[in-house]
Amino acid sequence: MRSRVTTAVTMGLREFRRTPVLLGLLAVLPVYYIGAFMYIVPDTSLPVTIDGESLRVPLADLIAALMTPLTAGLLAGIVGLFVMQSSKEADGRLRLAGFRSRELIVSRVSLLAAGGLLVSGVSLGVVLLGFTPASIPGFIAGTVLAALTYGVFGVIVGVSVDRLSGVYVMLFAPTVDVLLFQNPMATESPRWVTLLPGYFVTRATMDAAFTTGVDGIQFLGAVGYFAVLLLVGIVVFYRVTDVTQEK
Amino acid sequence: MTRTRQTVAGVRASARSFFRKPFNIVLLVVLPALSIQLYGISLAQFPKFEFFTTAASLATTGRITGAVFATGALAGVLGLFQIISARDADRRLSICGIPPRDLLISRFATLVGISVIIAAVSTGTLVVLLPDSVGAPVFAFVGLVLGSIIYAMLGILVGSVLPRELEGSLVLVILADMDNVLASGIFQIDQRITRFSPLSYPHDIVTQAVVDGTFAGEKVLPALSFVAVFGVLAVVTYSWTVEPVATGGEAA
Repeated sequence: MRSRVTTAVTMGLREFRRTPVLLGLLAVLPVYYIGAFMYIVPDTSLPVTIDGESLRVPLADLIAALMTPLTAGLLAGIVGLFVMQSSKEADGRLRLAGFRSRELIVSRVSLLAAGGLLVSGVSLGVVLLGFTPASIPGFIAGTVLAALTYGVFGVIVGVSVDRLSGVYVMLFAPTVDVLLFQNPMATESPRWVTLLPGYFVTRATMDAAFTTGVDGIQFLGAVGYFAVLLLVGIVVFYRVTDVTQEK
Repeated sequence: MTRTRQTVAGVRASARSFFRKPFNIVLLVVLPALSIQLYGISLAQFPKFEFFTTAASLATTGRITGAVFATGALAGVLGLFQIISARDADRRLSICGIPPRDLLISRFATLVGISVIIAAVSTGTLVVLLPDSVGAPVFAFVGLVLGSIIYAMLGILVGSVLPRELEGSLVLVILADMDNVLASGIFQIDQRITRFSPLSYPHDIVTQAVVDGTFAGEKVLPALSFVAVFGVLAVVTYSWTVEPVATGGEAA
């Protein structure tokens, strides 16, 4: 199994490497998105409540902390969407050629994780130049979790709808979720926003950014949400590549 | 076949390929409504900080922002996908003798037509979903048409420069999201920056139409300038990608 998974992952990574424009964009777009956002916001501070603590934080820092998981999630989600779309047919053929579903799942998840780590690394690199979170390891963990969560979300979207519709979903979902609904500036959020993919992960990242103690419950919630989403993604993926159903 | 009939046939075929998919129609109706509501609800959660510089209440500003963004994004992504998917077909048609200029006209005309429909749906949805009445719906429609056409041109441009869906989508999504923040008027942002935001002019036209019921005529020319600049760049890049085959050269 290991050699098949290794082959599939190596081929996927090679495909990434063959598209230098894509790699360049994944490196440049976070710089533009996060850098521009940090630059344009007014130079002021505001009171926010994070994990029950009332704090006064500079607006630029708050935006930097919010934009990191958002950018990682947004880009990983789009990559997840297209990885799934482009590998759908190939994976069906690989199943016919003898690959087991779990081998394909492990290889695709590994590929997605590689993409998620790449965009998280770039996003973190940009933000850490101008902002120092209270807990850097916690902040990194939160950002990677956001990338993985939205990466799997992109995979589910990619399997469920066509590319055009998928891009529309990814255009709105991460931004509205992380930047608007999970924003610590919001004081009257509806209860249903707790069901969104960005809920736990944004709270965990904000906590790591501005408070000294990392809130384990939020991280556990974020990991749990990711695990559930991954499970849904695996079921959906299995159904798409299950060649025994193609009769 | 005369040139006009060729163009009409091209427009009809392109429009049919869009409207043939029922999901596209669903998106056309659902997306503006969803965007308007989500932006309205999400901005209404924020207290009125002193650095917010909105002309209307945050809920109304959110709904206007949602309408402008949904209209631009729908048209932009559609332009991107249309141009990428049409590229190979257009190359073959140019080999068959149809001048690239005619192919371009039919693609552009289709997108402009669909952009107007998107703007009409968004205007109707905004009128229905805004708690207050819209001062001048016709002026709001004009603003949304401009936003829609600007982004349709931008989508064509991005699709011509980056003719792969993943790369094109990444660029368009990031540009649109950032542009939407600049255009929303929520923060006081230096005008030297916002004047380069394509959506800011349509956003101002729609806001003034909704809040004051007047027409922000001074914003039309800058908006049309964006249409012209993106349009010319899109024509040049798209012609460059299609034309070489027609002239016997190497395809880009």
